[in-house]
Amino acid sequence: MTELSDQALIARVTVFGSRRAFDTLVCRYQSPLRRFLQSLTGGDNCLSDDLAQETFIKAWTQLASFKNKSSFETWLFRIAYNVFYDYIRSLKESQSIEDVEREVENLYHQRADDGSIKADVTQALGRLNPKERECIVLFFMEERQIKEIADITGLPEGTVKSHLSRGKEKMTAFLKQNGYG
Amino acid sequence: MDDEQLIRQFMLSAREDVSDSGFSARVMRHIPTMRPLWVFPVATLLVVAALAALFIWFDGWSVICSLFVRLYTAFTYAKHFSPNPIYLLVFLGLGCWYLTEKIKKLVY
Repeated sequence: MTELSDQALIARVTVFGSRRAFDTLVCRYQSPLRRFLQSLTGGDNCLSDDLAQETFIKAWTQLASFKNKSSFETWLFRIAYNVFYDYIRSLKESQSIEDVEREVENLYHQRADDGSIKADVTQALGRLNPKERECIVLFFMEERQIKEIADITGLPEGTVKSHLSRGKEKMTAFLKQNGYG
Repeated sequence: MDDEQLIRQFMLSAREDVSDSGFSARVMRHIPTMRPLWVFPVATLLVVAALAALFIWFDGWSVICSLFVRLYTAFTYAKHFSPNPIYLLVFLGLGCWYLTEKIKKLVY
């Protein structure tokens, strides 16, 4: 059987409420989405799976509002990004930007030295601030375009470029210090 | 190798697909029941009503009956054909079953 496009599957979900079509979408995108959330949480598999599940549930309930302005995957990543920040905000009573960023750092560094095989990447990403890390992960690991990163993070394209530039400098310094260069 | 290539290679070396391991099934167990759009049943009702009106307007029943009579007559007088209404019923039954299966697959 030929593989249905995202648009065809989304139409089946919104018009018929088709669970099978949505299941196909979940199977198609669970891997990149969970990998992205693992990068945000510093490799916490349980937490990233819970956040990914919440993301898919939100996508299911809000699919009728999907306007096809971006790809379905970008839209899904945007929801995941918001779900992640909602989770971070729920950890703190005070919700200033600095507090949220500090909480992301704490969450990341609790997991950064867990001895996994991706320890070097986790350690390198740990040198970046949260926004730089998100841009670097989306650009290099998920191979997203600048515009897509701007759509996902809600940042202007210029800001994404400057986060990427600073992130690249820090990553290069780390790689050269650790014998990769 | 420039810096960007170095970072890309480094990041991609750590990139791996996350196996499903029951994740999709877990998500599907937790998604709430969704009501299909109201447009769909309303549109279906309107189309069915329009088709029924056309059927009555053009006396569809007698058109279908005369078609069957003409078909049966044609088969009866055709060479090398043994007319048997059972064949026709089996053929129609299989056709209906196939269509139903297709629609069920589409809607589920």
